Amino acid sequence: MKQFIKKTVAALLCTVMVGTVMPLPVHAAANKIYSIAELEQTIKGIINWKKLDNGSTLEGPLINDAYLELAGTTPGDWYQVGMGRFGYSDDYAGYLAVIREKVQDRYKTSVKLSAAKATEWQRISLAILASGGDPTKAGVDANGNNINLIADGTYNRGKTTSLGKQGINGWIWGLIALDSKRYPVPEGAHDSRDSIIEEIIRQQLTDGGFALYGNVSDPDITAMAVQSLAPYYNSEKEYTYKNKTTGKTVTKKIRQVIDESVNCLSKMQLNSGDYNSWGTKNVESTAQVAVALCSLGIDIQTDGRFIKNGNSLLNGIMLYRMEDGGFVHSYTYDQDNPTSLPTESNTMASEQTLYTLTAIWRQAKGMRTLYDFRPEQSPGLKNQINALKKEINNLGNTPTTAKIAELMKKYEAIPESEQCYVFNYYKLSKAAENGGIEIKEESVETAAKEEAEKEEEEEESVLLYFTDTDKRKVKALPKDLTTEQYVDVIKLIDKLEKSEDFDKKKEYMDQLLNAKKEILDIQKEIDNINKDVKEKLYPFEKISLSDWSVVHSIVNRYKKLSPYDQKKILRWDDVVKTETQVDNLVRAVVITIVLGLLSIVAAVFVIKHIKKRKNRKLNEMLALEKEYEEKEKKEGKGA
Amino acid sequence: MKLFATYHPSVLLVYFIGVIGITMFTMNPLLLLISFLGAFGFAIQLENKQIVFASFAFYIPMFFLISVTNPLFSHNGVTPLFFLNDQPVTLEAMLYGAAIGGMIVSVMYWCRCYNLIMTSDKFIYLFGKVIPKLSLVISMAIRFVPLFIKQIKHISTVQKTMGIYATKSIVDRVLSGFRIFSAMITWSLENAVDTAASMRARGYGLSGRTNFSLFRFTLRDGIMLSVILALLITALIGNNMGVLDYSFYPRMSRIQISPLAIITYITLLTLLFIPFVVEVEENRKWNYYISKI
Amino acid sequence: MKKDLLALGFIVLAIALILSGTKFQTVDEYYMTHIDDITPDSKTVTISIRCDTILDNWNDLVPELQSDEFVPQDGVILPETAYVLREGDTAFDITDRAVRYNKIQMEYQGANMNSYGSVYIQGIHYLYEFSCGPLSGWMYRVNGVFPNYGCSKYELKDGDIIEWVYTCDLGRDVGCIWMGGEWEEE
Repeated sequence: MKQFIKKTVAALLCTVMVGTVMPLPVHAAANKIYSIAELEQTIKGIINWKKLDNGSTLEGPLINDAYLELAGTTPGDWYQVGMGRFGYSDDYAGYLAVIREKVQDRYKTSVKLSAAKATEWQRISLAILASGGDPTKAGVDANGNNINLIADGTYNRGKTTSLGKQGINGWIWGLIALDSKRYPVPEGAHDSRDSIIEEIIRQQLTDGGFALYGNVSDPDITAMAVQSLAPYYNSEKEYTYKNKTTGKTVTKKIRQVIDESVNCLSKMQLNSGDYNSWGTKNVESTAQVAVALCSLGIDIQTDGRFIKNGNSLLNGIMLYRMEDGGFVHSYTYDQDNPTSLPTESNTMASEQTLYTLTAIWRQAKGMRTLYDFRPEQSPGLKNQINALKKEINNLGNTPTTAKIAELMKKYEAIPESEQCYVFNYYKLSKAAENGGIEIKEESVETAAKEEAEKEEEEEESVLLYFTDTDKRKVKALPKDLTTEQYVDVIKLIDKLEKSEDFDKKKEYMDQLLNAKKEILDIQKEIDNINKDVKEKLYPFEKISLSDWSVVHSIVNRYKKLSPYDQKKILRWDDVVKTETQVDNLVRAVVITIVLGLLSIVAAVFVIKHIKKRKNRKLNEMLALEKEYEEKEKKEGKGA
Repeated sequence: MKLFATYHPSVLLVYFIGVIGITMFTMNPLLLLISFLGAFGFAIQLENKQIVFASFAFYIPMFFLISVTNPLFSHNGVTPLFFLNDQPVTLEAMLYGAAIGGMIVSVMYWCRCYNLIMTSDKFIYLFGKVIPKLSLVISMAIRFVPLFIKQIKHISTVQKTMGIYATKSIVDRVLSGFRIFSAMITWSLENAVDTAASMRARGYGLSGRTNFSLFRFTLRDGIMLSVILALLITALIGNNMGVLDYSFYPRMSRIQISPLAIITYITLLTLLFIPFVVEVEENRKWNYYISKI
Repeated sequence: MKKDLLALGFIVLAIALILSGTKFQTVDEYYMTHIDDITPDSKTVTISIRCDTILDNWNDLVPELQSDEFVPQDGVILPETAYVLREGDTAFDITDRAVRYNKIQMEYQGANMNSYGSVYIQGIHYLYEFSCGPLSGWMYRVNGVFPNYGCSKYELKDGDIIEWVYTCDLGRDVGCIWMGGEWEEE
C-alpha cells in the first residue's frame, strides 16, 4: 500500500515538473529553432565548401592564391565580410596586402575602381573593414595622395559621378558603407547623410517596398534599403520629400518608411519561408531579408510576421543547403543567372548565406549588427541598454507621464551613437506621443561626430619580422615567373616594407620589386592578347586569309605564356578554331595551285605527245617520199 | 593456238558470258579479286608477258581515277577520312570506288581474252545458222569501225597524193574532211550492199551450207561444258542463299565465312581459274614432251 | 592515245576539284571549326529528327541498315532540342547546325545541283531516300505543317518547331495531306 502511494506521488510530481519545465508548444506547426552551435556549424560548412571549391584543403586557409586573385571582385570580397564578422581565423593580412595593391593599380586608371558602379568602393570598403583594415587609408594613388575609399565611394562620389548612377543600390550601399564606422561627413562634401537618406526614401514604392527599376517591389532591394536605414529607426527627424513614383510630397519619419517596408516584406514571404525574386524562388533574397530584420533587432526565429505556415526565414534559407555544405542559388533554372545550376552549390548564394548566418549568429550572441564595424559595446553599456529595453517592454498600455519622462531620460543618457541599439524605443516614442510629451529631434550627423571624436587615437603601426620562411619564399620564386606568384610577391613586399631593417633587406626588396614588375609585364601581355583577340578577331565569323598573320602572331604570343597564364586568355577555344580555319584556307589555296600546276603539266605533256606523234608520221612520210624519188631516179637512169 | 581456244565455241561463249556476268554484277571484294587474278592469269598465258605488264600503265591509273572520283559524289559511310568542302570523304565511299575500279579493270581483262579467243569465224559459226542475218550484221558491225578508219586513211592519202587540200590552212583541212566524209558514206553503203550480195551469192543462210572453220562438239567439250555449267549453277545457288552479299554503305559488311560461303568461293575460284589452269597444264605437258625429244 | 585520254581524265578531275573548292579538313579540324557553342539566347527554334515509320516497315528496310546503330529503337535520332536562331536562318541552316553539333551524318544536294533551287536532303544518319522502300525519304514540317518547298527556302521565326520525319509511304504515314499535285520529298 505504502509502495503504491509513493509511486503515485512520484508519478504526479513528475507530471507536474515536466508540465512546468517543458511547456507544450503553442503552435501546431512550430518552426525549427536553430541554436548558436547549429548556426556555427552551418557557417563553418559554407567556409569549408568554399575552401574545397577554391582548391584549398579543410585545414588550409580559405584566403589562398586562387581566392586572392579575385580580391576586389564580388566573389572575392563578400566572403571576407562574412568570415571577418564571424571571427574566423584566416589570412586576412594577405587579403589586405593584395587589395591594397589592386586598389592602387585601379586608381591609376581614369575611372579608378569603376565608371558607373559606386558599389565597387563600398564593397571593397566593407571587405577591408571586415579584414581589420582601414578603408580611409586604402593606399596611395599615382600622385602619392592617400586613397580614402569611404570618401570617394560615398559622400564625395557625387563629385565625379552620381552615387545613384547605377540605381538605388548605389545610394543604399553608400549609406551602409558610411555608417559602417559612423564616419562623419566633412564640410564641403558633395552629399550629406540626409541627402543620401532622402534619395533612398523618395524611391519607395506605394506598397512600401523598393525596386531597382519598375513598380514591383523586389525583396532584395527592399531588404537592402531597410539594412541601410536601420541605424536611423529611432531617429525622430521628419523628412519632407517628393515621392518619385506618386509625385506627391510627403512628410515621414524613417521609422514609418521602415515599418512600411517590413510590412511589405512580411507580405511577400512565401509559405515555405523563402522569397521569390523576378519569378525565381531563391536563397539570396531570403538571406537579404534576414540581414535586414537582424539590423532592426527583430528575432527572425520567433517574430510571427516572418513565420509562414510554420516556416521561418531561417528555415527558408536552410532549404537551399546542399550536402557539400554550400548553398544553391535556386532549384529552378534561372535565365538571368545562367552560371548557377539548380543542382550544385553556387558561390554567390553561399557568400550571401555566409554573412546572413553570421548576422543571425551575431544577433544571438548580443553583438553589433553585421554592418556596424565599431568596436563591440562595453558590458556596462550593454547592461544599460538591456535594462532600458526591459523597462520599455514592461511599460504597459497606459504608462504615466512621469514614467515616460523617466525612461526618456534614461534613453538620452545612452550615448547618441548607441541609441539605435534600443530596438524597442519606438514603443517609448509612441507612448510619449500619446502622452503629449515633446520629443527632442536631432540631426543624424551628431551621432557620427560623437563617434569620430571617440576614435581619435592613432593606430600604431606594428613592426613585423621578415622570417627565414619568408626569405626562403623569396628565394624559391621560380625563374620564369607567372601571374600565379603575383599574390605571394605582393604579400612578401607588404611584409618586407613593414618589417624592421636587416642585412640584405634592400636586396630582397629589389628582387621582389623586379619580380613584381615582371609579373605585371606578363599581366599586361595577357591583357594585350585579350584586347587583340577582342578587337581583331571577335566575333570570329568573318575570317579571311588576310587574318593569317594576326592569328599566328596571337598564337605565338600565347605559346610564350606559361600554362597558368594561358588559362587567362579569354575565348581561346575560338582563337584555336580561327587558327584552324585560316590554316585550312591557306591549305585550300596551296592545293588549288598545286592541282592547277599539275593539270598544266599534264596538258603540256599530252600536247607534246600528240605533236611528237604527228612529227614522227610526217618524218615517215618524208622518208617514204625520198625513197620513191630515189627509186624513180634509179629507174630513170636504168631506162 | 592455245589449248583453251580449241574448245567448241559454244563452251567458250557460255564461259565468257558467265564469267563476265559474275564480275559485272558483284560488289564482293573477294570475288572481284579472284576474278581479276583469273583474268590476269589467263591474259598472261595468252599474250606476251611484257605486253600484259605494259598494259598496267593504263589500267592502274584508270583504277585510281575511278576510285578517287566516287567519294567526291557519294558521302555515305560511317568513317570520314577528311572533309572536302564541308562534306565528308569516307573510307567506305573510297573503297566502293576501288571496288568499281577493280570490277571495270577485271571486265576489261576478260574482254581482252575474249577478243583473242572468240574470233569472228567462231561467232558466225555459232549464230550463222540460227540467226543468220543478225549474226552477219553483228560481225559486219564489229568489222565496220576498223575498216572505216582504214578506208579514211586510204582516201586521204590518195587525195594528198593528188595534191588536193595539201596546204596547212584550217579551212582547207575542214573542207577536205567534209569531202572525205561524204566519200566514206557512199563507200560504206556500197560496201555493205556488196558484202550482203556476195554473201547471198555464196548461199549464206541457206540450209546445207558449210562453214569456213569446222568445229566439232567432242566429248572433251561436253565434259568442259558440264563442268562450267555445274560450277555456275552452284555459284548461283550460293549467291541466292545470300552468302556472297556484301555492302559498303553505311558500314562495310564482313565477308561471310560459313561452310556454304567457303564452298561458293571455292566454286567460283575454280570457275574463274579454269582457262589459266588449262593453259598451265598444257604448257607443262608441252615442256615435258620437248624434254623427251 | 589511250594514255592521253587517261591524262585528260585526270586533268578534268583536277579542274572540277578546283572549281568546286579545295577546302580539305581533317575530321578533328572539321568538328572543331563547325561545332558552334549553343548559348541560351532569346530567339530559339526547336528541332527534332525521327524515323519512327521505319520501325513499322522494318522488312522494307535494306538489310545493311537493319541495326540499332542506324535505326534507334525508339526512332529518335535527335530529340527535341532548342537552338539559337540567327538572323535569316532557314530550316536547312538550323538542321545543318544541329546535325553538326550532334555529329549526325547528313548528305544533301546543294541548291544549285537540282531543279528545285533548294537544298535537297538525301540522307540523315545513313538513312537515305529509298532506303526503306521505293516511297521512302525525308520530309520536314514546321509547326505541324508540311511546307511544299525546299528547306533552304523556308525562313524561320522565333519559336518555330521543326520536325524531320522519315516517311516510308510518300508522306501518308506521317500525316502529310497535300498529296495532290507536285510531290517533293523534302
